[in-house]
Amino acid sequence: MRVEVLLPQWGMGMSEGVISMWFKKVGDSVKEDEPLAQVEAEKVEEELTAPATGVLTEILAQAGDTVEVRTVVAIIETA
Amino acid sequence: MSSQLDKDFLLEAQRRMVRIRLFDERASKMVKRGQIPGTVHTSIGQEAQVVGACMALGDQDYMTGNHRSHGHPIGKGSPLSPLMAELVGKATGVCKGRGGSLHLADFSVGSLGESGIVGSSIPIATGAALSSKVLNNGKVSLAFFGDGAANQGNLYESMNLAGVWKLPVIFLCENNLYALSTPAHTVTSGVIASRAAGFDIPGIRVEDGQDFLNVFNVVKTAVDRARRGEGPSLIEVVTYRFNEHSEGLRLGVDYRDQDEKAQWLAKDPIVLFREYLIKEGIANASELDALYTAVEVEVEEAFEFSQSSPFPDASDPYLNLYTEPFEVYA
Amino acid sequence: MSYLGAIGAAQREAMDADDRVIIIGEDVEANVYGTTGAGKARAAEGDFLQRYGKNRIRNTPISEEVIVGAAAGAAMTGLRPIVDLSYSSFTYLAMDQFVNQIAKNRFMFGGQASIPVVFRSAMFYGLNTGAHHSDRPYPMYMNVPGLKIITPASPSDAKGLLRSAVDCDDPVLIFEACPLWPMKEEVEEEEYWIPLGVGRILREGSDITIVAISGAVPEAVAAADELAKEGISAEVFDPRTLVPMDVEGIMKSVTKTGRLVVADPAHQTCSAAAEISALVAEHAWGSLKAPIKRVTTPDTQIPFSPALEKHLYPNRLTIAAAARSILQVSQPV
Repeated sequence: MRVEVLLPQWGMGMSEGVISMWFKKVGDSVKEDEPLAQVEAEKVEEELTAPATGVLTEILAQAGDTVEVRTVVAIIETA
Repeated sequence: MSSQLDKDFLLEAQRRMVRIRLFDERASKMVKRGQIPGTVHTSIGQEAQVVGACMALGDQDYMTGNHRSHGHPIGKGSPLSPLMAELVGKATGVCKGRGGSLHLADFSVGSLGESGIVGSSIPIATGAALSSKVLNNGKVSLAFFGDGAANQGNLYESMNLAGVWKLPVIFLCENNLYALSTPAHTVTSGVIASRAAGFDIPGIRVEDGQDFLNVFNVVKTAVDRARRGEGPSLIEVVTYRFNEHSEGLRLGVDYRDQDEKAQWLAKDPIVLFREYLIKEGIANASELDALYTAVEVEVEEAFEFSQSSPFPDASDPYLNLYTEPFEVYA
Repeated sequence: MSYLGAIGAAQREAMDADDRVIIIGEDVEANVYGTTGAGKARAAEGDFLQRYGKNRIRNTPISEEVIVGAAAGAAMTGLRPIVDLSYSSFTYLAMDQFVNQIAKNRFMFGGQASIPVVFRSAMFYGLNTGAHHSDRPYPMYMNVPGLKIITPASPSDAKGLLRSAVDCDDPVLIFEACPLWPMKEEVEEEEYWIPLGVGRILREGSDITIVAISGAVPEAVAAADELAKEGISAEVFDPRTLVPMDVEGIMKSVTKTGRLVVADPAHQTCSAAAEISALVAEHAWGSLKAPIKRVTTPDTQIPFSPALEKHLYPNRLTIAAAARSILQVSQPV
């Protein structure tokens, strides 16, 4: 099943974030809640974590990209 | 008093507490994954305080609440799927996607609205009690509010009016010791429950809000009193939220004492009630495990429902603004 | 029947027609403001308190926030309250309940609630009551979607509109102008309803439209009568309801005359007059032969001294002068 990985809204005032670094690459296996990427938002640095267990099949936003909250940044295919 | 409560009732209490716990744990994950826009305020840790009060009310009785909203309708028996769909903003949400977490309402279970403005729904609950009184229909109303809201003027206006008109309303303060990052005792003069005496209405402080029966018994006494026409009560229940004020909130400072937190986390209301039920021979471990698993399934179904439901149609921004709508001049 | 008598008559009709209607507010039991009494029948029938009883006629404490919020909660659970808030300036104490609960609950909860409640208050302006009692706040509430607002300017309008307001399933605020209280005219004793959102033409005319609100209405009529002597044909239109407004009626008049003066006793900035002017400029641009003029109360607070207050509000002289200036006709010496 195709599961979307969204950029979360960390705090009521956050409207966008910058992906500073991906920890995983396309094709990697990922587990639910495992960190996928580092994100800079407002005054905080946060870890983007996997919403499901499976294979990371697509990365839709590259390191350095500024992304609006709730944008789909990656796809995980679950079993 | 617990001997008067049958097994089905007590299991339903545990079921509703577990529902709140698992629903809020899932909602918390959903916020952190961007699946719920905005944020949510969980009742994790406060389940006994919420369900103890809700189950002291009858199905016909009314209730209002605040931003820590999911526990209240769940405690009063709301089905989970329309609630979760509402958190995600779907058309199948209980408020058709117009309210979200901060403005849940389920009139089918007497939940007249959770207010995003702290204290603002207390007069509404007072008004529901006014209608019960005028119509003489025996219904009772309960207003949930926190220790922060306990310093809003509208609480005292409401207590005064309810006292002088003997309205069947219970003012229930969910004192989880903190208003966001502010310790309650630093902004509260005196004890909240003691303020009732000034209005000549009963004020009771429940020191251990983690015990379902404790809370239930006190609220039931107040509900019965109200239904007999003897007027309102103020109940202050001391409890603790296990999570942050809102999910995803990252405050730079640790404003809660670690020892205090550890002590409260050791008093999990669901664990405590499970132990009670087993010890009193009311239910066994495997029954309670089955109850827990059944709720896990309910929450999963609610999640699937929220994901597969459509978003609302955006073409009518005026939908349900009025009961008698009119054409906007164009 | 006087304006106040008409309010009382409408309330009595509503109370008789439906047991779910109740009246709450300060001093309603003793009929202090003259709207909860039996008028000429007082000796025989007593006031509302005697007629309907203490369950349905209730004096409230001075607690606007809970009075307004409780009325809303009661309306959401089966009653149809009429709330007497006395002076319009006092409504501000309940702003959170008006704006965050009453205006929003039906919408936010996806249609689960209806809030059939009427809030009455009187604007005591022009009567030397000073700044705290003289407010004309309806423009503030016009900016809050979810409320309905009526400003009847005659006894017959007051009776029919208030009755419709009580029967309406939405929250309605009625702003009564105290200067109009003593106004007397023939009013049908029988039940009748004036629908919300329908204005009326008080004087027909062809040279210029004067839209007037609340206490400015009789002044606009007097101005029109004066202008008629000078050969100027002025049409006077009273929208009667501010939300929903009879914009169609205003447009019809302005497309006929091509000129507009709006007379509104509210303060100039963001007045009802401002909204009406914007609507006409937007939708009737092709018909306009001259710029629109507003006659409003200046953006300052109301002073107490009789020497300072009265001339601040729109009156027949200032309204007529505004009309002449648009028509580019000289003012009388």
